[in-house]
Amino acid sequence: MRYDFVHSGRYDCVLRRASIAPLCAWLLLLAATSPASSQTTGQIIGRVLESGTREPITAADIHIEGTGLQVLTSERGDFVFMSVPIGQHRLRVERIGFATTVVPVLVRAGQATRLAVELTTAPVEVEGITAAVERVRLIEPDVTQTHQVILGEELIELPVDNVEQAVELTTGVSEGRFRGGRVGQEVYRIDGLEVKNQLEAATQGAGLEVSPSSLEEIDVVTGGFGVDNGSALSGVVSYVTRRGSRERWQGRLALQGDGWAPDDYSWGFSELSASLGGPLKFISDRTTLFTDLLVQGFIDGDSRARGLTCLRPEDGDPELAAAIAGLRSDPRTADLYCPYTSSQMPYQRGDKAIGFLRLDQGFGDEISLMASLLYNRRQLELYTPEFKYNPDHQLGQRLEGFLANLAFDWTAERSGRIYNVVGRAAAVRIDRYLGALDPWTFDSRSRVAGFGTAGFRFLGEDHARAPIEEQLESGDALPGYSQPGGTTGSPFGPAAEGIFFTEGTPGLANWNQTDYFAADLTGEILNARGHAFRAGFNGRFYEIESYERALAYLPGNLPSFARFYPTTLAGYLEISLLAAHSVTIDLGLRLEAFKSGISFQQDRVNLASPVIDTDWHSLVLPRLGLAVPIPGTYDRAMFRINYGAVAQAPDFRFFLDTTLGDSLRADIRRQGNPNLAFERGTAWEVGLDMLATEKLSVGVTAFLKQLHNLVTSGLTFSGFSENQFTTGDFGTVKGLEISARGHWDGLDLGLGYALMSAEGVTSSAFEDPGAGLTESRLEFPLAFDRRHALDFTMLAGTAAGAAWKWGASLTTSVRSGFPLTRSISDVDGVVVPEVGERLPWTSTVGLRMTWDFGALPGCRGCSWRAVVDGRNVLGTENIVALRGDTGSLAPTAEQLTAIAGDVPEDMQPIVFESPSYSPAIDFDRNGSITADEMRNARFAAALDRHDPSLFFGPGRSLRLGLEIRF
Amino acid sequence: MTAPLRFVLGFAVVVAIFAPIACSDDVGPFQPAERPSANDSIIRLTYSAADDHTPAWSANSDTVYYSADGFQTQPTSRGVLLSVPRRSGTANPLLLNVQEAGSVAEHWLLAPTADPTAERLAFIEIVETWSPHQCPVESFSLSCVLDETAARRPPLNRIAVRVRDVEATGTLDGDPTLMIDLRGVTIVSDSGMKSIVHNYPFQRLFAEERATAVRASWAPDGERLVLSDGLQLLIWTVGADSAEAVPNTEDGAWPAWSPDGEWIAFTTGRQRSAGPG
Repeated sequence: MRYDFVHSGRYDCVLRRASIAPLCAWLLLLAATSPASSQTTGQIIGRVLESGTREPITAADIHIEGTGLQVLTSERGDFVFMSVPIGQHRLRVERIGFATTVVPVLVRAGQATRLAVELTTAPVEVEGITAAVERVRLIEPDVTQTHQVILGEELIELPVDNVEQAVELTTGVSEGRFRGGRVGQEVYRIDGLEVKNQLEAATQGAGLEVSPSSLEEIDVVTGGFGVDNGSALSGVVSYVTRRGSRERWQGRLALQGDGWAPDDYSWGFSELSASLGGPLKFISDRTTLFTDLLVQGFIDGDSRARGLTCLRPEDGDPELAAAIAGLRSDPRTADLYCPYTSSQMPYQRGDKAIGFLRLDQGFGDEISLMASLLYNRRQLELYTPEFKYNPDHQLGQRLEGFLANLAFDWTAERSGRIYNVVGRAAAVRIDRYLGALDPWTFDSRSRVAGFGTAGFRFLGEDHARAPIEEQLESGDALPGYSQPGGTTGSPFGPAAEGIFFTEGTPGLANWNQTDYFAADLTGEILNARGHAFRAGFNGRFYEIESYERALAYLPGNLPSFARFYPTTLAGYLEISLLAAHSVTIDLGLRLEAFKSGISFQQDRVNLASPVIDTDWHSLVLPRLGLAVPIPGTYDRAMFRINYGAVAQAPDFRFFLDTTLGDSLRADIRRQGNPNLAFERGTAWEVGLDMLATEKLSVGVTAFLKQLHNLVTSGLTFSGFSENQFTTGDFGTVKGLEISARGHWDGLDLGLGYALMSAEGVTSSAFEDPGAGLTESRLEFPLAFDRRHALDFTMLAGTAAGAAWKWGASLTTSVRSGFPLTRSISDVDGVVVPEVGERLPWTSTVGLRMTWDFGALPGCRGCSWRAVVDGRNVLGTENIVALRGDTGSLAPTAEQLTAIAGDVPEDMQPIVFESPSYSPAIDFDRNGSITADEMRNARFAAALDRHDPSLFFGPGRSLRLGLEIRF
Repeated sequence: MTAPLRFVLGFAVVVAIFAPIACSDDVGPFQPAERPSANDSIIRLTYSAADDHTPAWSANSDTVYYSADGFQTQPTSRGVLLSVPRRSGTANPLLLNVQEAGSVAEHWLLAPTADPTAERLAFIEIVETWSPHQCPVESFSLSCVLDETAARRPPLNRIAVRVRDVEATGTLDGDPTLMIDLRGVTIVSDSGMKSIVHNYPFQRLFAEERATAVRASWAPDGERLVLSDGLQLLIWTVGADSAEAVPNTEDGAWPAWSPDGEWIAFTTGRQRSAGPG
C-alpha cells in the first residue's frame, strides 16, 4: 500500500489510501514557531474532527508511538502534547466508530507543531502502514523568518567535515559571512544558549564548535530573526543537540581517512566519529544519556589546491616572467627556482577533538532537566612563508573550550494553553594560545593518524601565563624564544639571510581567555488558537584576560595585558498572533545593554589625563514580522515581511590596544576604545515562497540591510586618536535570494542563489588603512561583498532517507569573487585604495557515496557500510586572495629586487669552510661565494619567499571510510 | 552482549581495519644540499682569501687544527683557532667558550696543537704587540722614524703559551700559562738624531707573513712543550712558572718533538741578531 500527501484544500493535507475510500486526515502544520530553539523538546497542539461534518470528536485516544505519551481529546476535540522529544514521530488517533489513523509528524526543538486530524466513520484497519515524514517542510506558511534547517541525519550524510561547512550551504551564507555581513555578525546558539565568542568573533569565529554527529538539527536564520536573538547583526545559527533514546541504546561509529590516497588527493586527514546514546534505566525510565566524540588528525590542516607552490612566469608582470625565465634557463641557477614544493603544505599539522555529553532527566510529565558538557580542542601549526625552511620552530595555535550547560524546562497544559518556562545556567571558557611551538610537539608527542592525545606545547607558555606583575618586573624574554635569523638550512644558503628565518623563533606570544557565566530565563504561553506570548531575560558575566607580546625574544619587550569584567544583559517581549487563522504576526521588543567594565585614560601619552569609567550602553530594538498565506493558493504560496532593528556589542577585543599583522608585521597597532558603542543595523525583507509542485518549493526573498556604527580604525574623529577603534563605518547590503527545495522518494534537492551588493565605508579594523582612507570617506564595495553565490545540494538514496543499499550526496558551490581593494601609490607616493577589481570566481564540488552492506557479521543488530568521500573532487584551484598592490599573485620584479637588497661589491666572499657556505649558490663551484652569486641567489630567495600557496582554495581529498551503526 | 560492549568491540574492529590506511607521513622539511666532500689525494680544506696558518693534526687524524686571520663568523678576529674535517667541510672555532663568548677582540690566538691524549690544546696567545707608530721611549724618541715596512704589521712583544682543556669552561686566566717577553726591535740612532727600528728575523716573518716561529710541540709524555722564543728553544713543563732554555739552540725555531721523545728537530736562522729588514 502506498500513502502520500496531497493538498486538497486550504491548510489541508490529505492522507489517501489508494485502494479504499479516501481516508482523510487533515494535516495542518501550523507551527506557531518560536524563533529560536529554546527548548530540548517540542509541543504538538491539534484538533480531531469528523471528516465531512468537521464536528469535533471528543475522547479520541491519541498517542505518540514509542514515547508512551497519550492524551484524549477534549469536548472541543482539542488535544495538546507537551515535552515531545524532538524528531520524527507517528501519531496514532483512535476512536470507536472511526478509522484508526496514523499521522507522521516532525517535532522540532522549542516549537509547537499544530495539526488537525480528520477521521472517517468507516472503520479501516491501518496496521502496517508506512508513511514518510517530511524531513523539512517545503513551505512554512506560518513562519516569518528566513531560515534553513539541516537535520542531523543530513549532516552525517553531507560531504562536510564540520558544521561550518554545512552552514555554508545555506543561501545567503558565504565564507562565514551572512548576507554580506562581516564574520562575527552572527550569533550561535547551542540548545538555545547563546555562545557567541564575544571577545574576538570577527577574527576567530564562533569559538566553540559542535560535531555534526552530535546534532539533531541546525537552524540557520538569515533574515527576520526574532527578539530572543541578541548580539547579532546578520544571522543566527542554532544547534540542537541529540538526546539519548528512551527505548534502546543506539550507536554509530565511523572512521575515514585519505592517508591511503596519492598526495594530490590527500590532506593527511583522518577522522573518528563515535556516538552512543540510550536509556539509563538504573536511574529511572526517564533518564537518557548521549555521548559523542569527534577526533580529527591533520597533516595538512589548511589544505591548498596547489600545495606548496611557487610563482610561475604567468603569475606576474613581464619583467618578473623574464627574471624567472632567466633563473630557470641557466643550469647553474635552475635549482634555485621552486626548490621546495609538495602537494601538501608543510607545517600545518594539527588535530581537533570535540567531546559532548548530554544527560536528560524527566520529572513527571511537566519538568525535565538537561545537563550537557561540551569540550573543544583545536590546534594547528600555522604555515608562515618566512619560516618554511626552519625545521625547528613554527607558529602554532591551540584553542580549548568548555561549555557546561544546565537547563530546566517546565511545560504544562492548563485550560488549553501551554505554559513553558526554560531556565538555563551555563559556564563557558574559551582559551586561545598563539605562539612559537615547542619542537617537542611534533618530535616527541605521540600521534596516531595525525591526532595527538596531548595538547600542543608552546615555548615559554608557563612564563607567559605567570602573573603579569612578575613578568613586568623581570623583563625577561620568553624562555625558548630567540631572535629569528640564520644563514643556513634554506636552498639559498647565506643569501636567505633576512628573507627566511632558518633559525630562531617567531616573535609572537599571545593568549586570551574568556570565562563567562550565562543565565537565561524564558517564558512562553501558547494557546490553541495559535497565539503566543514570550518573554525572556539573559545575562552574561565575563572575566576576560588578554595577553599579547610581539617580540617575545627581546628582553625588556613588555607584554600588553588586560583583565576586565564586561557584562551584557538583554530582555525581550514578543507576541505572536495568528490572525484570521492564517496570518502570523510577530511583534517584539528587545532591550540590549552592555558595559565594557574597563576604566581607561583617553590620552595614553599623558599620565595625568583623567581616568574615564565606561558606562552602560543600551538600546531598544523593535521587530515586526508577518507571514501571510496568499489567499486562494490554499497554503501553497505565502509571503513574508520583516522589519527589525538589530545590534550587537562590539567584539571586546576592540576595547584593548591591539597589535595586528603576521609574525613579521608587528608594527601596526590600534588603540583600544573601551567606550565603543553598539554596532547596529536595520533590516527589511520581503519574501515569497510557493509550492511549484507537491514535491518542489521555490522562494524569492529581497532584503535591504543598513549597517552602521561598525567598528573601524581608519577614520579620524574629533576626540579620538588616529588608528583608534571607533564605530564610524557604515554600509548598505541589498540582495535577492532565490531558493528551491524538492523532496522525492530517495531524492532531496536544494538550490540557492544569492545576488548581493554591499556598499559603504569600511576601513577594516584589521588592516593598515593607509593615509587615503584616514583622510577621506570613500564609498566602495565592502570587503564582504560577494555578488553571486550559488549552492546546490543533492541527497539521494539512503542519504535522502530511502531504505536503499546506496546513498550519495553532492554539494556544489559557485561564487563570484570578493572585491579586491588595491593599494596603489599616486604621483606623490601616497598609497590610496582603488576599487573595482574582484577576485576570480570559485567553485567547489563535494561528493560522498555510501554502500550499505547490511547486518554486520558477529554483531547482532549492527549494520555497516562503506563510505567514499571526496572534497573539491574537480580539483579547482580557486584563487581566494591576490596581492593588493599588484592585483596578481606576484609582486613586481622591482619589489623582489628591493627585498633582495643591495649586495655590496666589496662583500667578503663566503668560503667553502665557512658554516654559511652553500654549494647551491656557489655557481662556479670555486669554493667561494662572490657578490654576484649572492645577488642572483638573493633574488631567487625573494621570489621563493613570495610563494602564493595561501592564495588558493582547498585542495582535493578523497577519503575511504567505514561506518557501523546499531 | 550489551550494547556498550558491542560498541567498544565495533570500535576496535573499525580502528584495526582503518588505522593503517588512515595514517600518512608528515610533509618532510626541506633538506638543504650537502656540502660536497673531497675524495682526491690532495684535498683543499680552506678557501679563505685571508691567511690560514699552522695546521696540526688531531690525535685521531680526522681533523686538522689551524689558525686563521678572521673567519666567516668572526670576520674581525685577528687570529682565531679552527678545526676542519680532514675530508673537508665546515670549519668550526675551537674552544667555543673562549672564542664565541665575545672575546674575539680580546684574544689573538695562534698555532693550535693537541696533546697526545687529545684532551688539551696548546696554543699561543699574542698578549702584547708593539704599536706600529710607537717609538721607543728613548731620549730622542721624538725624532724617531719607523721602518715603514715593519710598521705595516705590529711586531710581537709578549706572548702567552697556554694549555687548555678542550672541555674547559672558565676563562683563559685559569689555564696553565707561560708568559714570554720576546726580543722585538733594536733602535739604531744615526747621526741625524733619528732612530731606525730593526726587527729580528722572526719578527719580520711574523710582521710580513704572520708566520709564528713560536709554535709549540708536545712531548710524547704530554707533560712538556718545546717552543721557541724566536732566538732559542725552550722546554716548558706545563704548569711550571718558567721554561728552561735548551742549550745550543740559538736561532732555533719551529721545533718538533720526536714521537719517541728522544729528539727535537728545529730550524735555525742565518742571522741571530736584528738587522735591517
